[in-house]
Amino acid sequence: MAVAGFLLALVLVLYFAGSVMREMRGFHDAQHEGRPLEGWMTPRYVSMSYRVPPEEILALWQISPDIRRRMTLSEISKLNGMTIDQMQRLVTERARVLRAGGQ
Amino acid sequence: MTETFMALVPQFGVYLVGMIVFLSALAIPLPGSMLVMVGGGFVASGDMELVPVLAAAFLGVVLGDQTAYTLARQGRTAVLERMRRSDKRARQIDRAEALIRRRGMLAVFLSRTVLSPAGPYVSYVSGAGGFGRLGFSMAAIPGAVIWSAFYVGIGYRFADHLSEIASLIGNALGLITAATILVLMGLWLIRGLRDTAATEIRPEGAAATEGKHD
Repeated sequence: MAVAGFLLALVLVLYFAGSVMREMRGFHDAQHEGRPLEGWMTPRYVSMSYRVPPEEILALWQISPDIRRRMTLSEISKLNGMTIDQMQRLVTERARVLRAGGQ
Repeated sequence: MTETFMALVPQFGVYLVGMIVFLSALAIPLPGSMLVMVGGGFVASGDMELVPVLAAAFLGVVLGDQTAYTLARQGRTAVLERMRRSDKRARQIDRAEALIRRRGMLAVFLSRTVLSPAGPYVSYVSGAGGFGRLGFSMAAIPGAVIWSAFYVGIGYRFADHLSEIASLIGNALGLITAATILVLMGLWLIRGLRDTAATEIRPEGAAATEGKHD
């Protein structure tokens, strides 16, 4: 019983150690990229992630700056008729221009 | 499911964070720590305020811990009385209760910090095992402060990589828990081997002693 428990715990230690190492490597790589947009995000969250001012993001998505605070991308998508992929492309492009020093 | 709850955080704010943390402290499988990190992420983006997010996480854990403890304590008498009918079980229960009283604070504190997946179960065991509420609270409340600050802080710092960091933390906690079990199993194994060796040696020793008396 104790031997079986010990071996099982050893397998779990090896499994989690491998997962931690793999994810640390993946996490290090992911830090250099903007996070793909998802329905739960808010314009401010996207702004922070892509370093694009929030008012510019709302303008790109053709949304009034007076929208309710913390409106999610799923809700915005219903308002402006854009898919999250379309919003993603607009933000990624704008972030690329800003990074390159453009206006 | 996690994604669904994450989408509800912008709508229901700190109330949802506090409620989910409370329920997960009762061992209901809900993404409590993930939502606290999301709260921290929304603090970083300016969508939420720091103090209410911290307060919701802290109160959720503390109320959840106390509720789990109380439920287990109230159910304890009936269950334990039935179990104590057997002498062997009664001795085991006495031993378990003594262990909880001796090491309970350390167990409760660790289960709120580095061994947090075990947190809800330790609350139930503490209540059921007769560990005093004062001792439980003295370990659980500082643990809740550390837990809340850690997850809000991690969410704030790694706001744009929440899923990745949540998965990394989940696996790191899994590693710590598995390593703890490995050490405990190792100690159990060593003790078992020693007991076996002592049992094998004792008859010879006993015979030698008898020989001397003759």
